[in-house]
Amino acid sequence: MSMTRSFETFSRRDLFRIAAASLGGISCSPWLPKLARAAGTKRPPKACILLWMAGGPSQMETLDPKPGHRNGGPTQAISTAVPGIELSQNLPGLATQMKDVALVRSMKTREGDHGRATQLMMTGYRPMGGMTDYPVLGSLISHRLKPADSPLPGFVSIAPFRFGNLGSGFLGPDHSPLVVSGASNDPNTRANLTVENLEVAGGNPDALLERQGLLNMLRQGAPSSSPAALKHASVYDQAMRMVETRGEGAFELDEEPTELRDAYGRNRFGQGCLLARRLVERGVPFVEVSLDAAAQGSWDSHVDNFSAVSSMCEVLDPAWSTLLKDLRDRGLLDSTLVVWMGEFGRTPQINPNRGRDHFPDAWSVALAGGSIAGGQVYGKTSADGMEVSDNPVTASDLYATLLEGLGIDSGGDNAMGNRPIPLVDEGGTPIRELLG
Amino acid sequence: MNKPAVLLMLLTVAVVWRPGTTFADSQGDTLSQWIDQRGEQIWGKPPAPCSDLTFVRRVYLDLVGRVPSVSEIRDFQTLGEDRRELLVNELVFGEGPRRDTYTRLSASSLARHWRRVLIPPGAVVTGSAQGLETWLADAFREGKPYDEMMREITQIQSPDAAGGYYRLVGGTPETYAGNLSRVMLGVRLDCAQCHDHPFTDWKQHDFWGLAAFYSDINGSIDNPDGSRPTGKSGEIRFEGETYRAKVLWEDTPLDDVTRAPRVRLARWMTSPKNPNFAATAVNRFWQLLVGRGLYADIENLDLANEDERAFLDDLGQKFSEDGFHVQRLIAAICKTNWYAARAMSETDSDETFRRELKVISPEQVFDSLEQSLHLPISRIDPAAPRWTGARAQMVNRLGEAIGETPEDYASGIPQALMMMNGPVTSDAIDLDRSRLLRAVVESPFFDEDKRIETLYLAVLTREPSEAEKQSLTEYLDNKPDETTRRKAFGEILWALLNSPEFVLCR
Repeated sequence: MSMTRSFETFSRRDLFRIAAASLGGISCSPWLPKLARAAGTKRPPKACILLWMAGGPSQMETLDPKPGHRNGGPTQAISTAVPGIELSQNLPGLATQMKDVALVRSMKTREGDHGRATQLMMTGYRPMGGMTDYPVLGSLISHRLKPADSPLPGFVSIAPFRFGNLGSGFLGPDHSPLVVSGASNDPNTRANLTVENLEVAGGNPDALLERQGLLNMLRQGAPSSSPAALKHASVYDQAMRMVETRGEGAFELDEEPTELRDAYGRNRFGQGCLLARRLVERGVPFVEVSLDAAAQGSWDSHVDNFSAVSSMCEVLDPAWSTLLKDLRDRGLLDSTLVVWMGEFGRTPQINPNRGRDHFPDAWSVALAGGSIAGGQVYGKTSADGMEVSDNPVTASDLYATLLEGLGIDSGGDNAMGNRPIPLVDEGGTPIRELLG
Repeated sequence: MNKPAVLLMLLTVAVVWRPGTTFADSQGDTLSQWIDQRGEQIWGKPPAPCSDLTFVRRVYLDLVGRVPSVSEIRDFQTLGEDRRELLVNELVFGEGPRRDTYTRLSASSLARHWRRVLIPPGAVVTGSAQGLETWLADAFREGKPYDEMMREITQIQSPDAAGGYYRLVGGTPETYAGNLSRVMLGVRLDCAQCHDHPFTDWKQHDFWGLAAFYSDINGSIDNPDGSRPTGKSGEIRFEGETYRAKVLWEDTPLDDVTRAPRVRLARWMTSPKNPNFAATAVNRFWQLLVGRGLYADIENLDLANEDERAFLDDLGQKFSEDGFHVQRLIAAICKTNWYAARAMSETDSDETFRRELKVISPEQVFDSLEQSLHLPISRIDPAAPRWTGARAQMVNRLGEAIGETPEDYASGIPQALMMMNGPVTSDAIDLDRSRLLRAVVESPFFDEDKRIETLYLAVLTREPSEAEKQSLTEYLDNKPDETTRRKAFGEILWALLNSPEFVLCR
């Protein structure tokens, strides 16, 4: 069997012939990563990495510092690689990457509750009490960009933490997230970033082939015209391929140089960002990495906001900036859109507990890569941070911009049965200034 | 809708006429015959019936929430001519020696289902729904009539009443109103919250008229963009407009709105004259048991035309005349030819009736595995997966991907990986740890055919086909020695657990 033939072109039957011919070759077959193949002529496919900041990070301690104003607190601003653009002192790494980053400082939404705001920012639609089960961003993108023949799913969610139980909605199981858990945050371990249940039950990978054969025999009994049975077969085939190829080796973080792993940060979020890059390299169109809490505090900084955000940024900043640099070094940044956002911002006024509370009126997100024109700031807040003073951006506007940044027509529809559901909720307009 | 006078009258009448429970149909047999005949008028002759074993699998899953044990299957086979009816009576009404077990299991099985009706998968929930499920289970176990349950949910006086449903779905008048009309009337009004409904003729005053009944619930959640109380019962403010309590299909608000508004709403809601209440109820029970509603788009019943809802309306009326007796309705449906139709075969007229495979629920998956694999269940057994968190883990993972109807298989890769390689499966196929495998492989009374048969019966409630027997015998014969041959039974069990037939009830 020629090793130059790419994995992609193998059909299922091929796979079985190979496995059978090489007698238990599943575990040692050198599956050619897509990267090697893509290095030649093909341009890398579009992809999106969402850095999801569950809890709602403070804009004033991250992207929109207000030094000198009472509301700004003790947070200082630092200059960046782009003259005239300043970030908070908590993000020195991101400052070096600023040429590729566009800041949106004028997010204006209407949901101040974690659950409702998460639903809004994750789906682009305001919660309407069970009307339509809207898919999350990852499922939308997977639906549009997932390659038909990939052994990996179109949407991987790493260490997810969200307020609310959201998924692929009406887009169905083909686009629901593959969840990569990360139970441990111990910097000395691999941060446990594994897909659950990827190890063959019983431990012997050779058993897989026998099981597939037995399963095929049993499938003969199920009515072939049943949509449920067809879906069952399709999902099992995908899961089998994941197990056979061990996820195309994407989860073998040990293959990465020590220095690079250190640069991302030896914690769950840092290693998750590295895993995101490895997944994108292998053709996964959407990866979500969540960060909600660190050693001292969380984004939901009702108490001691300044130390909490500074502690969070010690995890965030190295991972985020290394990810952008790593993607650029590998020629993937122009095809990979990196989005940083939470469900809302924090109140400009500092509360009696030196905390900041939920604030959807004026807050920030950041975009980089893909078709985004970096090195700019879009929108503006007033001097006290209480309101958007320039170019307000709604969740729908942001969604329209993200989709266009990935080359997807934001005016398109999805179909729920025979009902067209717009990709973007009504009123969403892509922000042309952000699209290069 | 030409019923305003009747409906208005009902709102003011204190006592609703209720037909006596003297109905002769104590176990749903008369109703069952009526359904068979009515169905034939619409669909033609029913499809061929399913086999006895398929029927047993169906009713155990549908009524007690798990597959039958091998001994339960044997017991059934010893019953006589009318064994199917007897089994339904046993499971629904608890007739027979296992009364307590079946009554408890069927109440919790119904409660789980109705919890998912009240709080659909994917909905944002505030807190744990366990209290609601317990409330529902108690009601079903006591045999509380369906209309009474729904009245209790409608006329709550605090956010914690009726299992805390009000609080769970968001704790605001508008979320509650939207849910009640969806659950009890099969009408989705939520669109009309912000604008007049694009497809139907629901207006903002319909939505807010319903929400107004709940404006004075103490302890509502304050949502800055939501509604405001006016200080008066039966009135609500939203975006500068004041709306007075009003029921659907009515143009004018209630007069004297401040007088016990929710009691009057509850009475209107559950009245036999309400055009959608009983119809939506029977549609939901039919969907639960047969897989597809008599009108398939259950929560858009207002889009159905008269023909499409004729059967539904008639059955709803029967349900109402029988005092909304849940167990009798369930038994009646299970005793029909339609319930017993073979899956995927069609009627002789056209394709209007078809029995599809039904996806079993997350809890049914675990509870069936527990039954099939002889897992320990005692609360004091440290290895009992039910109590170690293994059940919760499995139910949560499967619960991440639930279809909208029982015909819709929505599981994805994570769910498949868990069934393929998860801890329950790993233990099940390991000769040293699996009770089922040991019992089957090590029994001196079984030859190999009998071993295979027993695995099939325990997991899939059927016997292997001739073709399957032959394949499996060849498979075993290819094993080089006794050890691998014994291990191969683990592989066979793996395939049975992961086969489409395990999660898709035939």
